[in-house]
Amino acid sequence: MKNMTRLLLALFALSFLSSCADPSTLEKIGMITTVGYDKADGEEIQTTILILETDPQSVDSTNVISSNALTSKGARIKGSLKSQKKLESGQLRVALYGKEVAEKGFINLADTLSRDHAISDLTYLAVVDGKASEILEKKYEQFSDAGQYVYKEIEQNIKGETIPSPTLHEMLHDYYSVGIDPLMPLLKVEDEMITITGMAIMKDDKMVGRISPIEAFYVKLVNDQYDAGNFELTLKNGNDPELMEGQDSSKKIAVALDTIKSKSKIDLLDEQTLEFDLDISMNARLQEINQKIDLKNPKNIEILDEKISQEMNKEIKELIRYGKSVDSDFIGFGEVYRSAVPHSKLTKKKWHSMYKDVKVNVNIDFQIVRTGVVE
Amino acid sequence: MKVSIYPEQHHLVNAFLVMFIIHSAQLGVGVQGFQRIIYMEAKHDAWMSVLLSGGIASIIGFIMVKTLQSYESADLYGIQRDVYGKWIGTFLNLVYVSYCLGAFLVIIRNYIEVLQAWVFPEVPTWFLALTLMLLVLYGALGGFRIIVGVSFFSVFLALWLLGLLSYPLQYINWQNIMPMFEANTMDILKGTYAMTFTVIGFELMYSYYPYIKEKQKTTRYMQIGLAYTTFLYLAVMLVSLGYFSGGQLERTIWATLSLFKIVRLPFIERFEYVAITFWMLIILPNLMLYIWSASRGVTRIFQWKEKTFIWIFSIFLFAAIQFFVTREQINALSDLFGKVSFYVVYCYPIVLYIFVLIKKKVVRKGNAT
Repeated sequence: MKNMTRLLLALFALSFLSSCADPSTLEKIGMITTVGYDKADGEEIQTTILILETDPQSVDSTNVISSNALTSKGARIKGSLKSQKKLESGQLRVALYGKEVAEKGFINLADTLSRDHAISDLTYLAVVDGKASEILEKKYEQFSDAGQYVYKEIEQNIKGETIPSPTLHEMLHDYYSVGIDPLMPLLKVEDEMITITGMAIMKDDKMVGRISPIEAFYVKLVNDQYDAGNFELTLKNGNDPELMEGQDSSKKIAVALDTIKSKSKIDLLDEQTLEFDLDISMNARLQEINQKIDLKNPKNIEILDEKISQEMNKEIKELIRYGKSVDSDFIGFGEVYRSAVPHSKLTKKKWHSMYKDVKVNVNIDFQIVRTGVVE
Repeated sequence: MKVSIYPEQHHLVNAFLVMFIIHSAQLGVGVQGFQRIIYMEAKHDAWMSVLLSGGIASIIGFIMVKTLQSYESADLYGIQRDVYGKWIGTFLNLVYVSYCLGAFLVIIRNYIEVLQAWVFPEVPTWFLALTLMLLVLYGALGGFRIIVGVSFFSVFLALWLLGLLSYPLQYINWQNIMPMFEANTMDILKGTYAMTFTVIGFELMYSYYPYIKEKQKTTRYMQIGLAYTTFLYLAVMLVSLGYFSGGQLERTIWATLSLFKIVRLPFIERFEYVAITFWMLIILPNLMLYIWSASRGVTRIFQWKEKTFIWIFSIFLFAAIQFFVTREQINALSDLFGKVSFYVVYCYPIVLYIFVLIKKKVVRKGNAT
């Protein structure tokens, strides 16, 4: 009898289960994979959403809807008036910010993403040099889905260690930290292709400058580590010692490195004068060199090590100088300072006023491990 | 009312199961979002508060068992009756019963809030409450041994969740927890105070002590349970501190669940949905133990049938859940309960122990003369 009652209760409960949560049928929902934000008239934001087309009869694999509203969610509600399907943002992969929006401050538009429980923290954020809607609305000859293309492109470059990772979580982490400013990939349509033209640098949440992909390599070198990166740099022959005997000292030599392994360490030397020590130790395989240099000679390898270290040293110093000139601490010296000085009561504002006086001693220890399978 | 109770042999449980009961009763809704509350007080030294609160819990746990061991086989209801006499004793017993019911209410409402905020925003509260209630009734009506069984499985079946911490570990930045000892003692103590709601659960020892078979081993297994909980909280806290930056942690309501947000598997992209729904298994022993303890209390006072009270309480609680609709109301309820539980769990056991000692001395003197 008792078991009977229990069974009946269970069956009773089951009858509710069929109707409570909203079902989401794949054919009936429009999955937003990419979203782009641009500045519209006044305070309004133009939101462009790219929806994955699941209808097999459709010619295009995506569907683009653009609408203006004061908030991004408002734009989505307006957007659904133009859509035959219910819009769902659970599959969002990339959020693009037009340059004007990025210059005004992206944090509100990133905050709304993190507030929505459906959106993954691993969504990539990127800045578009121009308008985000242009990238999404354009028809490309070589691929059909711009959203997927951008997503794969960013993902591939993070995995290949050419750019630092710009996930929503990492951007918010940096934004809400006291002593580091975020850094996002900068995209542009060049020759009918979506290209990563560098990184946009932020001061707090506002874009204040840009760096080239080569400089992005140095950023990653300084505040992250490499496991298997690759890079190309040009050196001058120089003199004392010269790499190629008897050649002009301004003769340029290009070197391609791969399987770069690196470790970096930033230490605060003096909290009064804000002097930092930046030590990088790295090694790599020499993949290609565009001049005739006798690599069998260990002395030449040594000179090469030396020259590469010097060149990188110069570039990093230049990068830090640039960061200071636009007042963006994308390397994160502020975090080093905060974590090294007890009771510093550091705030974002305070750090930005101190940042100009930062002095950095760069030490690079570079070594070529091998030069390929032939000598 | 008798002070000591002797449940029948086949209702008793082995002492080693105490560690599962202790741990499963502690782990619940608090751990889903305790990081933010502690961080606000102790900043990046929050992990010290966690460690300290674990230490305090273990001392209180020790005192509790000491109190219980002064009697042969009594629970809190019997001891209070014995120490304070009929009227005050009964009053305090009723206070403890309402405390247990309050705990039940806070846990179930918070869990439903999480479900509504993350997984099913459109499902009404009453429906989620009803389904959870039915499960709780199943266990609570089955008696203490069933509840212990649920506790045991909830600990074991949830072990793998710990492995998921390896995902946020990839993004961790240990610089975030430096420099150490920046918070002063007061901040760390405030953080420890804020931990109360997350740590409580072990006070239920007061009501199930008579059901333990080898009573002399209770302390050992209780301490293992408490230590494991502290270890778990410490691990979660350290990972959260490294994974989130300070400002981010301050605005993340359920940091533990947000940690699961980045777990991405080939067959399921958003793992927090699994984690949150799986959390029901962690909540269940909490709910069952509290409602069982409450009904034990009134059964002991009024000498009625235990099951009748479980039904009455369930209906009462089900109705009470409906009154808490907005996040603010739920937070107000949790805050109030956190304050009350601090006195009930951390302060009162010491007072009770002193009274029990005095009482014993008086009785011994009385016997001697």
